[in-house]
Amino acid sequence: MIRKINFVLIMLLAVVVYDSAAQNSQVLYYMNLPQNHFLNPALRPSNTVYIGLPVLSGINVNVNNNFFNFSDIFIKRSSGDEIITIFHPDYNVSEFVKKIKDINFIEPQVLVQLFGLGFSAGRDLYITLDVNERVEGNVALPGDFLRLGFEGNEQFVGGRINLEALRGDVKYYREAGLGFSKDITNRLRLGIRGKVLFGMAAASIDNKSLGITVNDDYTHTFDADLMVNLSAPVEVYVSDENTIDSMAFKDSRFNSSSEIIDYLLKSKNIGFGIDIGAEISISERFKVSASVTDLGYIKWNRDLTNLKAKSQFEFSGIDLLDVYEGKMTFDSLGQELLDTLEKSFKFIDTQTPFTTYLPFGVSVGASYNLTKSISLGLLSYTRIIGKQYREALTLSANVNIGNAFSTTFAYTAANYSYDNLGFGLAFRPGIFQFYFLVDRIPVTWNKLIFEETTIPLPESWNTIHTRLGMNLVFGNKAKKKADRPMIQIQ
Amino acid sequence: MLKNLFILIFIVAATGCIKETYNMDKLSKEAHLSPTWGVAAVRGDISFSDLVDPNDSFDPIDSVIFDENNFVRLVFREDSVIDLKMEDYYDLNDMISFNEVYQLGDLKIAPFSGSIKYTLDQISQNLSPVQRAQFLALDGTNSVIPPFPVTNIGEKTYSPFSNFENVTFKEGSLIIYVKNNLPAPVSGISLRIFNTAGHIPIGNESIIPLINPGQIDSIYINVANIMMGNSITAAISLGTPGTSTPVLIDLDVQNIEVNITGKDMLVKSGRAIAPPQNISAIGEGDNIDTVSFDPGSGVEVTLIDVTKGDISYSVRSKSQLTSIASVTLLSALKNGVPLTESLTVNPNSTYNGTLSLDNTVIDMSTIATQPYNMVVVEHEIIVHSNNTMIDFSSTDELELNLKLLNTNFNYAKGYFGQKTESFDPDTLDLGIKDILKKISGYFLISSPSIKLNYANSFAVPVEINLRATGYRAAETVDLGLAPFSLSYPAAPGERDKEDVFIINKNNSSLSALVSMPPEIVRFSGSAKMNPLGNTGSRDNYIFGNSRFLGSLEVEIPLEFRMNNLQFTDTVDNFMQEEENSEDNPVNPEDFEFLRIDIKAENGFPLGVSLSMMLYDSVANVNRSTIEAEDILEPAPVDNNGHVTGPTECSTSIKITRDFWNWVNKADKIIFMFTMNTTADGSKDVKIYSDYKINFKASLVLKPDIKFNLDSISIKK
Repeated sequence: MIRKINFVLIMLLAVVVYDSAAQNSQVLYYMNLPQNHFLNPALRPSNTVYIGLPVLSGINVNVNNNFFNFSDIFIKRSSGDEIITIFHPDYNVSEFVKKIKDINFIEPQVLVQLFGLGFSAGRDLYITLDVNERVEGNVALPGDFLRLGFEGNEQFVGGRINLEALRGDVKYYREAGLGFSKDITNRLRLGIRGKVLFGMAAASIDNKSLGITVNDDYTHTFDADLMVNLSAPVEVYVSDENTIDSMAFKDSRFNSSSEIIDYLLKSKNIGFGIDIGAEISISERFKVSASVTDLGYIKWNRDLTNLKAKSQFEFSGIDLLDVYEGKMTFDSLGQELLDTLEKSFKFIDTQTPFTTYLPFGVSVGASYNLTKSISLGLLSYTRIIGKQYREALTLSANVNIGNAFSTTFAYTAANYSYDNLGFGLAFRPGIFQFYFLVDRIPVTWNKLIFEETTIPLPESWNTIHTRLGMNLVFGNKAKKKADRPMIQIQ
Repeated sequence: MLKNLFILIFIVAATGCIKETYNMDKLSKEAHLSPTWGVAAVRGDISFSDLVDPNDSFDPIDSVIFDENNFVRLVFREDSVIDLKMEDYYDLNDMISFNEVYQLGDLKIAPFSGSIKYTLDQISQNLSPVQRAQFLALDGTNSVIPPFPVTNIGEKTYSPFSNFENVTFKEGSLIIYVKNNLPAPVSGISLRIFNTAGHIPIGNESIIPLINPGQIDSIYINVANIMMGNSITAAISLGTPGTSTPVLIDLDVQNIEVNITGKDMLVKSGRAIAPPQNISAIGEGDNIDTVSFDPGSGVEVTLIDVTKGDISYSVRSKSQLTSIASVTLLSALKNGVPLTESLTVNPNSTYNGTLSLDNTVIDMSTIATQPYNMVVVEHEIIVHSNNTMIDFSSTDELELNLKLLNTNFNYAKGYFGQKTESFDPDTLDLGIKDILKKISGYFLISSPSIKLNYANSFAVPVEINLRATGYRAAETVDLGLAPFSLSYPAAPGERDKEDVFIINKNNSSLSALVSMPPEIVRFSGSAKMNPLGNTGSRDNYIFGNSRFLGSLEVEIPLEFRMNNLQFTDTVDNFMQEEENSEDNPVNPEDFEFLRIDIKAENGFPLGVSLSMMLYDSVANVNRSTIEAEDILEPAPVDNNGHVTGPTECSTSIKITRDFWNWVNKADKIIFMFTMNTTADGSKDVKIYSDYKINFKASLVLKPDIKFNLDSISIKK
């Protein structure tokens, strides 16, 4: 038992370096942590100065998906302990297909905070400076695409397989942000954080139209109007027939460390972003806040490849006359279909700069201080990714005791799940502020046994957000009330 | 405290509620994917003309013909099926050849003569001594010549004749003139002639009763069949009655002269000098001969118009005579002039020559008694011995040989016999025996035809007897065609005639024969020239380039009917998986089902059904059957068999797992196609090139793709 606990602790401690910043941490918003300015630049921590150290700033890996969990893929037989997959002959794969959403996304995100600094300037001005290395990806797979793979196209006869939701966007960029927040009035505090974005590499799919129409006679019409933009040291080889022959990484550009450094530091892909936020004190106890974060773009100019596919192609089988004339054989039907699929995407290779926009978020929250130390919070976070948006609504109970101890209990409805309990804890011995957050506490777990090793795994892992970190904070003493009695009785 | 709280949180977080335990060591690696895929497989909007171009050639079909109204006909052509040239029937070079041997016959020799004298002195020497003395006494006086009796006055030999040594006369006479140069008549003259050699008498003794002085009398001796040398001796006896008056008596001058002459002598053998003489009367006894040719049994040639050619001739002399011949073919006119040739043949030698017949017309009908195969020849032959003595016989020969060479004829006219030429029997194997074993049902081609296109430049009546029999197993169908006559040109003005003879259902059983259809067809036949025989008109013409060229064209209009025509074929099961075949992750039995959906608009008046059976030849049982009835339904037709509009049809062929289960257990597959024309073959339908079929075939399959999670590899 102790051994298992230690194992889990080790696992979690190893996650010290994991800092989830990309996907909003709903728990973080109302906690007294300097990192909450990422969620709303108008929020000001209680400390005067904070420093985020490179080593301890952390690497955050975050994977979200909305369509499968471990138990969706691996199924335990009702009798015995044999495990089968959804591909097992005894499993009815349509049960899995039912779980497929119209849009199924996977969002991997990585963030490495290279440096963080925040300090008060003047009476109420707070300045922040952060440099982060970010990798963000989101891939959306249309449900029809997955249903097509699992069940075939028979179900689509007479209709259209809509793949317009197919999306892919991966960016690796460096973000250098400078933020300011200040009380505009005694009730209104505004914050703004401007960011310069340095793009390293990107790949994105701009999908205007993509679909396959399956007619009653099983003729297929492929239509495509999409653009794949790449900014990466890769070489794409397009054939004379405008189909993609191959793709190769230009590893010859990275033969020495100086070349690697040059690549990382001398980016020509520049972008800008902005976070803006506001906090309004309606009353002493009631505050509302709102922010728009990660509103920005990057213009990609380096190592460009644009692959535009705009075509419409119908596959109606092989013409018997071609077989008769010897141009084709019946055996080539399969190859003909594959060729049609290939030909239906005619790529035109250009090198036009393109622009990607960051998925931005809109937070709207309200908090009510029950007491000086206890507040209730309501936070709505909407993340807009292209034409899609995701909404998370969090109800939290927050405790902040003397800026030395802060904890939050939260309930979040998000990502098609409604059993997300979150917890956050921060405490500050001296200048070291330790904190731990988890937006979704896995309530139920599965246990995996590999030979003699046992690994616990949350039963549901649609959303994995944990944060564990350490800041150096200065000037955190709670200010005593400075009001003096109007009449001093001696 | 915080530490404990921290640990508590982790404990809760980490070990809260264990819902399930998954022993991943017991993970089953079995995996499969079984989507249902439908894809358009094959489509077509095909007209007959898309499959077949007009005048396309497919072995054995030579061409497919589209009429103006698009009706389709199949044509099989065989060019030069019959190719008969003039030399296949006649060789006029052989027809016109001549060889004859002539005997020279009797020869004339030059006249010859000789003279002998008996003087009175010589005469008196043969008298008695008294009389001798008497005459001696009277010599030189005028006295009366005393008579003396017939006295042999002795033999005298003439000088040898120079123009022969010895001959046997065919005919002729020796004329002996006796002249009395005595002053007294001589009487009782007896004359005998002898060959000096052997003293062989020539002829009989001849008597002249009396010759008065100064008179001549003659004796003729017939020398026919008498051999005579060139030295002759005469023996004479005579007397005199004397004179009554005195006469001058000169014993040395006064004589009896005996002259011998040979004239118009015809010798038949011997050794002599032959003076130039015309022996043209040899042969038929005059200088006109007929040369008879043998062009073949029953062939009567009346005229040959030669455009180019030669007569090759040779004259061989078996005689010591030199021959100078001049030959004229009176009925061979070259530019209107009879052909003439002169030649000289040396003794015992052969003379070869050629006589050009270019642009020569040889009339062989000038002899009234035989107005054919005869050429009149006029000849003049002069022979001589070059003034030398030669051995000669009337049986000496002259051989004449004539032959036509390198002859190009414009035409020949006559009667060329009643020849029958048989075609070599031939068997046409259609090569469909194996296919026919697989076919059953009713099939009829309505209007096939065979055209014999021919060009005939033999102006000779010809009757063709063509026989054909179709065989299919034990069934036979005869063509049943009556003999027919071919057209021929109206010569000489018309030299070529083109025509066609059509064999169809109206004059034969061709439709039944073609519709069998036969495995083999045996052909035979013959062509008879002058089927009516020799009418005496002798008006056949054959030209130098006469040729009969015939080609066959079998035409099958696509007008037919079918009722339940079934084609059944058993093949090895190609769907059977090979042993140890591991390359294909998808095995046929892993298909839950495979369905072929066919939709068609059929514009052909032909319906098709299909069944496919998995057959176990070991157990002799059908294991599984797929039926596809009415894959195509025939389009309706009007009364003329023309399609009035397409028929829509829709079929699904489902191949179930049961079928797949048996695929690897059956070693054979039996395909059976059943075809019917419109209205179940109760009426003829016609195929037009604008008939179309529009179809779409889709494949819907649900494979069961098995794989193992341990060895997943993505294969293309």
